[in-house]
Amino acid sequence: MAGTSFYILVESSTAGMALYTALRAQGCKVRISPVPRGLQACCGVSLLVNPEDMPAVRAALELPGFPPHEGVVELENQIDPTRDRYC
Amino acid sequence: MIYFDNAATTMVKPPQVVQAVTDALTSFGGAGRGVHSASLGAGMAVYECRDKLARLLGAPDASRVSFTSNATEALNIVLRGLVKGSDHVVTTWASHNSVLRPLYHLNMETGCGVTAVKVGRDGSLDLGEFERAFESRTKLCVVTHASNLTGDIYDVAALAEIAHAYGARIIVDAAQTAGCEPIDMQAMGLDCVCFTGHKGLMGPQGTGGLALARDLEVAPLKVGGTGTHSFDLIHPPAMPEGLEAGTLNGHGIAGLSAGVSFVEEVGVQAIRDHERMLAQRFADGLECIPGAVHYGGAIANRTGVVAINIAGLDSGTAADALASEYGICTRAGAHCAPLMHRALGTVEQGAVRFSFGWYNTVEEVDQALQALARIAAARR
Repeated sequence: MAGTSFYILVESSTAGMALYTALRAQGCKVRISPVPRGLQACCGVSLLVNPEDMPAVRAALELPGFPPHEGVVELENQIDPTRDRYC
Repeated sequence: MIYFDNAATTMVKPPQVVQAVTDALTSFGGAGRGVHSASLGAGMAVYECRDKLARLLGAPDASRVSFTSNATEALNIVLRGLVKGSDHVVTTWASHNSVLRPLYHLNMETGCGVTAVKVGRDGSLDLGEFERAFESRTKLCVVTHASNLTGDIYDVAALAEIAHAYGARIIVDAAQTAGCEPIDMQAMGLDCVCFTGHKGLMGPQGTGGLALARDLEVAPLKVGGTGTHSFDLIHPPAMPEGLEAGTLNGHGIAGLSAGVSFVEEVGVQAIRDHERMLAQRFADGLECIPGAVHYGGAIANRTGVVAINIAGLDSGTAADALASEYGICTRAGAHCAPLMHRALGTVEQGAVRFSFGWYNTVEEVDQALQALARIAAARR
């Protein structure tokens, strides 16, 4: 299984929407995703970030007044993104 | 039909509200209950509505806005979530039963103290008398921003100063003012604003909510599913979902969101000025109708509400004549405002309430005046 992904954990779906909106406004590539069950998360919603986009996201998260988050977790990808693709 | 019952519900909605509800009915999943596109669409619509309401009401941010089914539910949540048996609560005679009945029930159930401060026959509230109602155990006051019977607007910023001087919180019932009178809860020092969606905010019935100051926590009235902390035995308290157990009225909130956008585009002050202009024209016209009286203070400090009577004519009879003979919709009776009717001396007769909205016109006001003149003449 190649690569990892980053999950930004949030307290609630409202917090997730607020953070998603703010990160997109900063031009960050991020999408809303279910939280992998292996994580002890507060909320069923998280923000999924690819490793190459993480530096920009981390910079945004540290901006003053930015919507809060509960933590960032890096997980090994469990699904091969090239599955069922040939050649 | 001429619709002058906007203080109960704004019947005519902006077309974008109708469209938003229609679109939501065919595309929304459960907000905050999944991460597929249908759920996320609903979730983002709900979040955007919270954000707009926070901006419109001057709330700290979207996380401090919880949705309910109406202002009554919001008031029940905040009163039952805050008041304990040893507490004392101050309200006024201008309050609606959505405030008074929860307080009466709390008094009977917990023994908490309740003081309702009288208002004058002109709807005015004496600030000195209001202040004298506070005791050392007063935990909060709950006041209406504007009377649903007379439209008189109360200086909630001044009331907040008094409450805070006694270490009490202030809860404001903004059912009559959200969307048609400026509200800035942070600048005015308000701890909680309870609103409904189906009046000045132009949304569908079944929508409403409350906005809380950042340092005020309220225990939930109902507990259950929130989409978060699923394995915890105890209901998670985090705002705003902590006060919203169960699936939200996402379809309604989509309409409310469109309504709030409409209010933002037109402007609260423009809406207020239009409604007040109609109310002033109507009040001026009443002067020419023998036997017609109207209640409350100066129109300049009122919402677009004018409550009237015609000599000794029962208010229900007058409203029925307006509806059946002229197609004019008003509201007769007691208006869920028993103490305000006591203040006005209209407990027996009730009153006929005309409440003007953004979509009403000068021509409609003039038709109503002509109809009232005929009803009054037939009475003599």
